[in-house]
Amino acid sequence: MRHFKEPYRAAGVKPTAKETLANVAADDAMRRRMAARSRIVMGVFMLCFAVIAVRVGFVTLWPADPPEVRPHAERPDKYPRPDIVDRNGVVLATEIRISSIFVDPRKVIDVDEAIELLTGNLPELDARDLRKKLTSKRAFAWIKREVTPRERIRVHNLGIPGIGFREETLRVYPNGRAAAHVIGHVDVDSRGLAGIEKYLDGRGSLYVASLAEPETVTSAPVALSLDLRVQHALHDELSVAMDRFQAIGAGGIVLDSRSGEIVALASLPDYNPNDPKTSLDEAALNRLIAGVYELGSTFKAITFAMAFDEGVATLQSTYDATQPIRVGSFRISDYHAKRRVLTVPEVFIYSSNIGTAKMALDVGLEKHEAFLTKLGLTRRLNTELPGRAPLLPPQWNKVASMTIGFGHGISVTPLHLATAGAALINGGHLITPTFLIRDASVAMAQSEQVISPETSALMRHLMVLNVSEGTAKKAGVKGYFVGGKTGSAEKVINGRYAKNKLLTSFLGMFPGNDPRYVVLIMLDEPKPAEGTHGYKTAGWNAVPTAGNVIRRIAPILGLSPVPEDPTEGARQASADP
Amino acid sequence: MLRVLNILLACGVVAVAVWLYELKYGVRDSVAEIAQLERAIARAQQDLTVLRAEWSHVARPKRVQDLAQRHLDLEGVRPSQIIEERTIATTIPQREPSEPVYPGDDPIAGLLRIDQ
Repeated sequence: MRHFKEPYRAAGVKPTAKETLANVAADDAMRRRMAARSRIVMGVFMLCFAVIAVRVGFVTLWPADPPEVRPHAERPDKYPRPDIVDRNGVVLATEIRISSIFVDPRKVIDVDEAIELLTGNLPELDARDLRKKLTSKRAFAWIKREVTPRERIRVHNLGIPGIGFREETLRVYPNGRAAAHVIGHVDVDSRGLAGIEKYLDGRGSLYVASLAEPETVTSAPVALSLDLRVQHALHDELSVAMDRFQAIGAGGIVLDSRSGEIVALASLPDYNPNDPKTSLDEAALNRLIAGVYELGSTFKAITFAMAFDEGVATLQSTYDATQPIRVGSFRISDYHAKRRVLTVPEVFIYSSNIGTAKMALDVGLEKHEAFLTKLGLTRRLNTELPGRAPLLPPQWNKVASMTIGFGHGISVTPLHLATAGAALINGGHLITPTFLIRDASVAMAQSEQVISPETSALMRHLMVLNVSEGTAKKAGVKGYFVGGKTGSAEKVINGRYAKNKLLTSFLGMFPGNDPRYVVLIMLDEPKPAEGTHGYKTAGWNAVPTAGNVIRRIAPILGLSPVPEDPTEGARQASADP
Repeated sequence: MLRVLNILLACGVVAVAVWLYELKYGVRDSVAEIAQLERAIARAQQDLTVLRAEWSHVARPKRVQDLAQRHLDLEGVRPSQIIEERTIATTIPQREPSEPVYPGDDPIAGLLRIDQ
């Protein structure tokens, strides 16, 4: 600062006159400068204040939008459960956010007022119950769970201290009962209790979380092999049949024999997974996977395949069915008794117990047991849902082998039979069924060849023949060459066969000219109905039900009917390897 | 020389201060906007889930079947009614291209009139 160039001076030394004059001049200049500076500073400050004043004016005159006020709610800390969709992407299970109202009783100031306000706005609340909650010593109590958004706003606007909201997720099943036994359900804390829901939990929360996208808190859906349209048709026809024949239960499976995909599976009685309380009784039982039954004559198809595959029988073989078989106190006779020598196709279409028992004996005990083991009928079937292990005879002897030949003395799940049935018609590939999407080529690569393609072709021929000429005529659907085997088994009650209580079933396949789908229908204790002439065997109930199901689902599954006569189809089936 | 520099620097400081102020508040606004958009997205996704569930519920086959049975005269499809694409030409007879099917100038209005 050149203006203050004052020579250094020791303290107490007086300045000269010349120096004093110069100092006065310098002081004067400095004072002016100072004044100018303070003006600048004042100016700057004025400017600042002016800016603030203008801003305040703006804010006062045109206030900004008030910030959004939202009722506070705690967010759920769980990973979301993935949606479950069918093979076409239709939602079968999803999760929606919903609020629940809770109270911290320690923070409630005026209990009476709170009760009055709450019961006034939520009329379904019980005042006495509410008082108990509000006066308790605990820090937390639910007031009402799963309220609608409107109720939530209303209660929020009451402004009662101590009342809070918690956002919860609610699992919903938009299709209700249609696929209840496959999808299963969850408890109030979103834990899977049954079906695919339980399977997802069993894969671990890590698996469920791996489907989740952390950014958007959404997750990829789990695609099932079910086709909702087919599932509905099956469920609907089973309900009609159960009603018509006053059965105590019914079940049905549609299985893709090439990929092992379960396209539909329904077990009645069922429950509504949106209201899982109803699942506590016997409706919770999935008869097809968790129930084991002596399935009776439908099992004969397996005995026939075994006899063909072991080379002990051909289509030309004959069996004498004139006399019932007696082994000790045991007597085997025919329901549709012909009392003559039957050819193999006749044994099949008249469902002769005698002929089939002899066939099983011809194969031999050890080979019989080995064949059932090869088809997976002696061990638990591992799908995504927990299966039940078969009940096997205590010992393999002649009687056991003969009775198992026609489906008694061994109890398997219906899914066991459908899986074996798929192997019988698809060229002999045993494929573990699945509820998830699976490619046919993958399934074939994992499959096990259990019977020869030639045996499989023979089985298709017999099954189509049985529908065109035998016990299963009512399953026929023009254009699809349905084939199948019926069964009417007397139920075992308290260790004895109950003569008048039947379990009727039909193991079918279509289209016969190029078999793809296996259909298994089962009715538990059907009664005679109008038009059945007093009969209650499979041919009068399970078989027509299967026919109705196939008639409805074949077009859905993309199959066009072939305009040819049924015998042509039978011939084609046998010619087709 | 130095005075000019000083003034420039002072101006610079003020300019930078203003810029920083703008930036800071701009960022704050952006953050608020992002949060708001995220909330809106989450809300929209929730609504979407609810709507999808609702659609699945109202379009469930059981309900459609019940409604169809109650209000329509239609029957279930028979296999004989299903034809393959390549046989369409031979199965469905060709219609004479003479008279318009529905009378009047407006075909849709004609169609509606006929249906009533």
